[in-house]
Amino acid sequence: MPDYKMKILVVDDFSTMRRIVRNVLKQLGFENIDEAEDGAQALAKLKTGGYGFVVTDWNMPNMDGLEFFKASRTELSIKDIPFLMVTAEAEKEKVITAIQAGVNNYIVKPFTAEVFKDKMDRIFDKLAKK
Amino acid sequence: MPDEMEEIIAEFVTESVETLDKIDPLFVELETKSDDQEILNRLFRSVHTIKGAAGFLGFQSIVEISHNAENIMKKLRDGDIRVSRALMDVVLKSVDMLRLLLGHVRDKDGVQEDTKLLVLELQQALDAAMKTSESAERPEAKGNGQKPEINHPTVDSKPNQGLDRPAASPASEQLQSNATGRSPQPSLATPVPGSALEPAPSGDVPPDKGGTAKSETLQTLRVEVNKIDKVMDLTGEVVLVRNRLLNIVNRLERQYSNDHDVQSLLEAVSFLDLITSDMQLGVIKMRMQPIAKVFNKFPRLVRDISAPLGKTVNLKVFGEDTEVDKSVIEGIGDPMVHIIRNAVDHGLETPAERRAKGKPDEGTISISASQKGNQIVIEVSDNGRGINIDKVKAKALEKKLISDEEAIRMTDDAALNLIFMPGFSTAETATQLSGRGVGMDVVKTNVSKLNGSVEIATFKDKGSTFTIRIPLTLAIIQTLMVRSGNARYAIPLAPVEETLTVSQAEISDMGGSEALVIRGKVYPLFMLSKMLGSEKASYVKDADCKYAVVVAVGDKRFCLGVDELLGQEEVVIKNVSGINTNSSYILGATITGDGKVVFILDLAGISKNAFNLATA
Repeated sequence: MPDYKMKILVVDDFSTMRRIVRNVLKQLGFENIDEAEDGAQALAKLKTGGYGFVVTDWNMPNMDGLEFFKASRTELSIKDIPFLMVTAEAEKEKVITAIQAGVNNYIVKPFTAEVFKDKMDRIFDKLAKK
Repeated sequence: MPDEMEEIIAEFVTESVETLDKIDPLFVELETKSDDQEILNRLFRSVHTIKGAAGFLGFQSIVEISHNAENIMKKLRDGDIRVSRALMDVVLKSVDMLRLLLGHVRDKDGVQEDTKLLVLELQQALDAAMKTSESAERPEAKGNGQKPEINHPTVDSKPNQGLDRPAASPASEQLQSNATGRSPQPSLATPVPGSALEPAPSGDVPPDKGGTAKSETLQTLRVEVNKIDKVMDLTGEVVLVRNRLLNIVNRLERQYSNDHDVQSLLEAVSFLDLITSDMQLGVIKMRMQPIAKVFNKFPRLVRDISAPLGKTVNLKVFGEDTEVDKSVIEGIGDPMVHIIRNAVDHGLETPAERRAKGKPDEGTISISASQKGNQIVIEVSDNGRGINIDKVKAKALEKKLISDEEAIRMTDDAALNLIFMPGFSTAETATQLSGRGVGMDVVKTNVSKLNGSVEIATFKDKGSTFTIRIPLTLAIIQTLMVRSGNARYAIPLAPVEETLTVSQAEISDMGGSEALVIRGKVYPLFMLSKMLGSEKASYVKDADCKYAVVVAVGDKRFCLGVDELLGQEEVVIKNVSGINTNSSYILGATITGDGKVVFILDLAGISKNAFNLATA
């Protein structure tokens, strides 16, 4: 069961998308949400500490989702923070890359709150089992 | 949460439209820089993002169109097909359709657009482009758009089974997945261990860095314009109060210069003075945006206009980072579109004509924006045939806009300005370039609304330049305070060129109107008291003026006769309800440092009326 007070970082270059994801998270009971516009900004924020979960889009300027994820895995303080990658249907081959790189899970847009919850639960279940 | 949804949808529309505006010129640029990876990435991402959000919000038509456009952009980005004019034409069509659809969402008018035809066009264009690439025997060309591009050879292990669904007929599939509201693939139970495969980035698009050197993470906030306007209003009030305080404190200082409290008060008010100026500037800057917002429309405009005319145009844009007030962004677009259309249609010659003149086939139009002191200066230049002044005069005569005598007496500068007269350019635009308003008088009107001016310079066969000048800050201006009779008036300082003392003897009479000769040039002189009908102070003789204020409005220069110069003051322009500022002498009013209401003169209005009166 994830901690509902956990700070979650939502990353996407389109503010409407961030808002939509924020909305979904709120529906699931998460209120402590922060945002970033691209991978670089997101990485900087993660490093300041306190984040428990990351939801990130793939296609972004400056540093895309995959690069952001990989960069975070090299930092001791943040390398264990779970990542949920948001992707579109047609990017399946990229999803494979991401999963191979160690992304915890991916979710295809558009998604509902239920699907999101499902994905999140799976991530935390897996982590609990470790 | 229905309200929340409303807000999200509103934000989606705003953001999507902004995105489309930003990428519009990129499509045009792509035609000449078809290998620019950064542009291709940006275009793909933008369309992809709009599709994503639209999917969440259930806007099917938007999803469909953007999905098909995205497919094309993807293939272009990955180098599977090449840019062609036909391809860009259909992609631009889809951008226009997206704008239309977004407009319907925003207006909530429930209008449905038939997108089937466009979708088909997009698919056919993509197919055609794919076939062309295939026949060119490119090694990476995929036979059809059916399979997703798989870059990694060992990709068919079991967990990925659900992922292998083809991306074919994306529209219908998209509709399906949206209908069920669930992601079509099962989530992976076990992540494939990272050591299994080294992903080969060859076919993958390299993430775009380097090119986007702007790694400064700009934090932005979306704020409703009314909120900013409210603060601007309040700031204006603070400026007025500060002026009054300064006034009072200065008087006190003269009387009680040794009083300790007065000294402290003086210090505090000086500080307030500095801070208020800073605050004012800060608020003004909040409403300012790069003029690129307006300039971004032009590459596409030029492209769309020049093609049917058979002209090739090189559009150069400078100074798009220049920041201007939001109202300028909103008001300057139309005038500039008119000027540009004019330049392409009438200014630039056809390639054949240009060749005959020894000019390069391609005509050039340069647009620039810069800040010069207190003004924004925008120029539109072309290297075409120039404006034929004789023809202009002939046409004005024909349309009975001027008399024969005027046509003879008129200076070249004045003649050029004839094209701004209402009724000048009607039937002339027999080309397809009809648009909304008619011609150049719209330009002049709209620029005046921004308190600006427009001038033309032209040289035969070399080209013409339109220069638009707009004051930087619209609500707060520097003025010259003057007294005429018993009344005080504020004259905007920007158009003032100089002030002179004048004695009765120096005033010349030119056929009923008065004039001054200054350094050999003749300037019409208008007595402010006569024009505004203010009471003459009892001790002043008729037509006696002590000072002349020389002003320049557009290309006209004239003098205003006043009784006394009272000094400079920075004022906040307040609108006076009940006055039609388009046809009067008044811009508005202000409250001066001593708490009195003073009218601010509209020099453009005065100029118009004064010259009409003079020639009556």
